[in-house]
Amino acid sequence: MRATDSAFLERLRAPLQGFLDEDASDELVFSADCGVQRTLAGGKVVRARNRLFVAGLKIYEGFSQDEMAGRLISGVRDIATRSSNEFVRIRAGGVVVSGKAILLPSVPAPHLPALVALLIRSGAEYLGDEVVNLDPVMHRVHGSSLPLLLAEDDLALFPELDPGREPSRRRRAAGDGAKRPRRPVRLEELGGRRAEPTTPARVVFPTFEAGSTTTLRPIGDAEALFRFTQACLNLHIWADRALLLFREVLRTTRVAELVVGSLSDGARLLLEQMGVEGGEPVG
Amino acid sequence: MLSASYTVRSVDAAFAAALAWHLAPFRRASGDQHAVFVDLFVEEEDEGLQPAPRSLYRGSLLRFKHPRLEKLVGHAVWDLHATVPKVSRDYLFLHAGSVARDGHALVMPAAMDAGKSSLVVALLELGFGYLSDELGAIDPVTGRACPFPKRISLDDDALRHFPGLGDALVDPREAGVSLPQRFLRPEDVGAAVAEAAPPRWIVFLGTERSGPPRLEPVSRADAVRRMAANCFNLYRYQERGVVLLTRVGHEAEAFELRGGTPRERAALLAERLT
Repeated sequence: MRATDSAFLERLRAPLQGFLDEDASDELVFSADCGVQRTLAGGKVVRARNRLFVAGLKIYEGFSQDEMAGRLISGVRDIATRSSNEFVRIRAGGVVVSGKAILLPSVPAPHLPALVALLIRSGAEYLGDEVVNLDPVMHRVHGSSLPLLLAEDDLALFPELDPGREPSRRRRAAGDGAKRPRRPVRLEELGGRRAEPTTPARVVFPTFEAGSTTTLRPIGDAEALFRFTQACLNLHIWADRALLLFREVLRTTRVAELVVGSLSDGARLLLEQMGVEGGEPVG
Repeated sequence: MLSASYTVRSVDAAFAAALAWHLAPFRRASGDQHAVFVDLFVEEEDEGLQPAPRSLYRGSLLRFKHPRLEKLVGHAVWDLHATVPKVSRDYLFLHAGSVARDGHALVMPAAMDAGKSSLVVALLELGFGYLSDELGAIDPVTGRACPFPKRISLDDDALRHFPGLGDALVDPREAGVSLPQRFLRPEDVGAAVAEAAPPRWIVFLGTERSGPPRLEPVSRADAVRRMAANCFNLYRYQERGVVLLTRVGHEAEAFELRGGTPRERAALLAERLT
């Protein structure tokens, strides 16, 4: 990582501290041009425009270094995990409650990390906010040690975090795609801790429908299998073997669909469900 | 090649034809966006040389440079096959010959030059289906041994055990690409590639060749240890790999095979493994 502003490197130091390698090779992957703030005649201030490049390809341009850090961590995660095909990679959140893992496979959903963060704040252990690895041999879910990436418009749910700069109306209107501003949040900031690889006890497919009533409802076997394959990130590698694995995981877990109208209600509902099961065997 | 995809581009038609023959068992019906390019061309700095060396690249890595076509083909074939257990992470790879019969796989882990290829050929002659002469590819999901049906490589010493077989082979030697080894397709001995199958027998090939063939039982614990010792990518699967090998060992009978010629060994296995 290199940057034109040492403050940006310092900003990354905390969320990526476990990965710091001062003796890394000269093979620089990420370059941040942090721009220069200028004052024009008449006193008008032009904010510094930041640009982030990976191997020469621009992946971020904007005014927020927090957003740029989020984009960087998202890129790091892609690079770090895209070749780990010894696992079946799932786009999913994952937490462990009372020793039991909840897997939340999903299509790309900007509010999924916030749902996971709310579960962590309530005492769940952390596996992943939107990408986890499923071990095809022992069926355990392996998590990530990278920070969570919370959508900036979900930060209001976490008053303990520094909200940073309010995203502009134009940025909020950017939709749910890759341009949506996100910022890294360390697990420690949420008072959470990482979970060991854990076998899932429950698979819940979340759909985010703002304003709907938050409900946990049954889902058919075929629909669950379809939604699992939709969330698989390396289906081109595992092909039909992934279907066999998913079918087996679904067979040995409790499966449901969670319609999330409110993130707080969704987190509460999931925790209640795990609480109802208590220490009883699941499956 | 399992989950490793390559797109070969060459300025030399003979090189392309030889690679097409060697890689025919893995040919895809359509391109793969994740494929790694394998390129053969003369680099600008070498254009004035006589004979001009040609450079062989896999991705952005220069793998070999040589003016002679057979050296380039030999290296490309070796390199592409050797790369598979490094880049295909979705299988646990044993250094093993493997064949199948009646829906059951026979996996034969062994070190280099232990006679895997020649024993595989002898077993194919006896009606076994072909999986691989080099890799026991174990699927972590199902535990099945999967086909990696590369051309079977036989050196002169191995061919000595199969009188007349060399004359029947149709490898690219006749097309002007003369490699030190010969290459056999399963159909050359009347066999076919088998479907993936659960390993029912694990036979470790001993290095002792003297005397008649002997098949001695191996305990399950020892079988798992010896499979692990012959595993190419246990470093990647770690404890999960040991668990997978334990499952394989639990479902299979394990033996060590010593002595005998390839055909004698094959006859013993065909008789005993039922």
